[in-house]
Amino acid sequence: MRLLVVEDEDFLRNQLKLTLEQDGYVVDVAADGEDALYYGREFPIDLAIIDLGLPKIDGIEVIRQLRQDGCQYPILILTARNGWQEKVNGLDAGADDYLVKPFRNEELIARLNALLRRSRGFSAPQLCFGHVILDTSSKQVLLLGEPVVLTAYEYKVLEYLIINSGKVISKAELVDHIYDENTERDSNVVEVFIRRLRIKLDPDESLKPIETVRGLGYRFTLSASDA
Amino acid sequence: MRRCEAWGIGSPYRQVMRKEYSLARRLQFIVASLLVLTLGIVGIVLDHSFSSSAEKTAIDRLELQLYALLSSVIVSDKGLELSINLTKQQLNYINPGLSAVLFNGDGEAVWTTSSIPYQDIFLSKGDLESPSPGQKIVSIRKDSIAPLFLVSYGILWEASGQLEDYVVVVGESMEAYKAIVLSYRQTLWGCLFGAGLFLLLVQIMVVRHVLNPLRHIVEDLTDIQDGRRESLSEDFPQELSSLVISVNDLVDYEAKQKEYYRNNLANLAHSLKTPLAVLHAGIAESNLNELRGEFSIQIDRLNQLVSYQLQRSIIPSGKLMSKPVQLLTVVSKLRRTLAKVYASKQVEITIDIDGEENFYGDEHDIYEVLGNLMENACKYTNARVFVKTESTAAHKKKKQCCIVVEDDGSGIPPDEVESALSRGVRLDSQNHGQGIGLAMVADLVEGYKGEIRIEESELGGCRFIVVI
Repeated sequence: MRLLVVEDEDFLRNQLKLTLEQDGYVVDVAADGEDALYYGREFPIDLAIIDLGLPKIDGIEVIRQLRQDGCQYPILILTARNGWQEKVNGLDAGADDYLVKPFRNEELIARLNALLRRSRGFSAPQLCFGHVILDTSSKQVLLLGEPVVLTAYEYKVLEYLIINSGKVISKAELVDHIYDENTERDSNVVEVFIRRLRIKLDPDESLKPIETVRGLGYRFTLSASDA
Repeated sequence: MRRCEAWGIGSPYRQVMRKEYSLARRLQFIVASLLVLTLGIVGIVLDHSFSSSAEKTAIDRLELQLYALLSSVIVSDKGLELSINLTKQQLNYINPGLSAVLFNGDGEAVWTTSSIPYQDIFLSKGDLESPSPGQKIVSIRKDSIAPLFLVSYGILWEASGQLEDYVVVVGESMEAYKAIVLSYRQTLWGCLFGAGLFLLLVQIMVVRHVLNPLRHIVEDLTDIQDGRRESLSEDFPQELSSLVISVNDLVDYEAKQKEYYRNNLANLAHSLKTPLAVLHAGIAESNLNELRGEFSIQIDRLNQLVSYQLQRSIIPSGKLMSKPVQLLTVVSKLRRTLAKVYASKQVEITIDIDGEENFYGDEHDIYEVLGNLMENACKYTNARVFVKTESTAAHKKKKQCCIVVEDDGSGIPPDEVESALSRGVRLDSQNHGQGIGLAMVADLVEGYKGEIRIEESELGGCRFIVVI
């Protein structure tokens, strides 16, 4: 999942990037309203975290313009003001949730996970697909109730495929959502990740959870079920 | 702070006062102009009517003279010639300054008063219009050097079987008339001027007397600024009482706000000291890792304290300087916001509020009250939240509204109802940030001299009733 963090305070921005990356997200950062608009429009963002008090273009205006340009991804507001009028203005401009500063990292991650799930139509933090369960809050994958040991990149690939289950995802799209702009990319690595995931999730090749759609990409084939 | 500046009675207020026109001077100018205009018109009308009446009197008298002359006409010895059997003395006795001439049909003067003043004018026939027999012509000759009233009368006299035309002309100098009019005029304008002066003086005194209460208010305000007084005295005329009450409310509000800031700052400073002391002591410890948890608790505490004090930093101004805020707009906006925030819970918020229902006060305050109540309801509800108004006519008369927020959650146990509305209490520590919400609402409602109650809802959850 690729996130955009817009925050003008250097320390907080770097802290957020570090925390979110440790939690398995791909993070792009912007320090002012203009950069935020550029990243928000040009990059394949899954969710944006936007501080309201920004230099150059105000946070509310950034949100309004992104929405006008047709950006659909969820937006979480960070604000130091906790009056209801500010919250109402922010959400009216097009944001989906707010978080008042200072906040705990756990709360931020819980909120953005909830927003990400909601934007893909899931409500519970655990996404069940038959024998495979993806727990977005603990970042774990369970197979028949047992945790599957995955590397960070394997998890990112699997999470993106599962959240977009049923859709064909191209290699390029996967690369876009598991790497930030500063990381050197190698789309061949995706094949390696997919092969390893198939071995880990389907050792006896009975489930076939990830299907290769020739020339187009990959698709997560299992359908959602109740826990 | 912003509010204090808006109505503070500082030096800018005094400067404004100086630039404005004077109410007393303006009033005096208008009344004086009206007075001059009215008295002027009255004077002119009286003068004119007196002159015409004097003129009419003079002519009437002249006509009488004419008839008196006619009654004393005698036929002379010469046959057809008439004469008037009156001497000048007799005539003068009747009216000094009177002259008379009798013309025959040929226009010759057959009889005159022995000496006629301004004879030329009197006798210049060309100027005189000859009346036919029985006709009377009245003329006033103001344009000549010696202005005259003239009455001429045509008569037909039968003597020795023949009829002869005669014209009798009676004239009177206008001197006497002018003297009367002049004397009247002097008296009239003298009296009017005196009356005008008197009325002006009275008017100045009345204005001063009427504006006296305003001057007292200004003096009282100066006393308040200088600290000699705490409020305006209530002893003011009916028309100013609402102004006095408003000013007193403002002064009272400022005093309360000052007191409030002082107390709150002291409270804040003291309450920050404990967590700071813990943090300070912690720094000295060698193993900071073990203190991570403790630090986190203290930072949370600092954060809570700051948030609480920030939200309470401005006490509500109550209904002072309030403008109507449409309740339906506020509640609808909050519903949109909460629908997003509680999207995963899929709360259904039903609004039943009339579009004309208003809240009178600060928009920020009503957002805080309803935002906190509605969020609280969304947090504890199972699925449904209702927001409606139940304002009675009595509420509306007092510019208040009664708002009800209820949910179908599990409700608050009766013994916790009171503590839910007191400051800093967190009923459910798992719900982040809720510690001060309801206490804030209670504070705000109290600031508006309103009322807040918690009842058990028929739906099962809480029913908050706020009159504000």
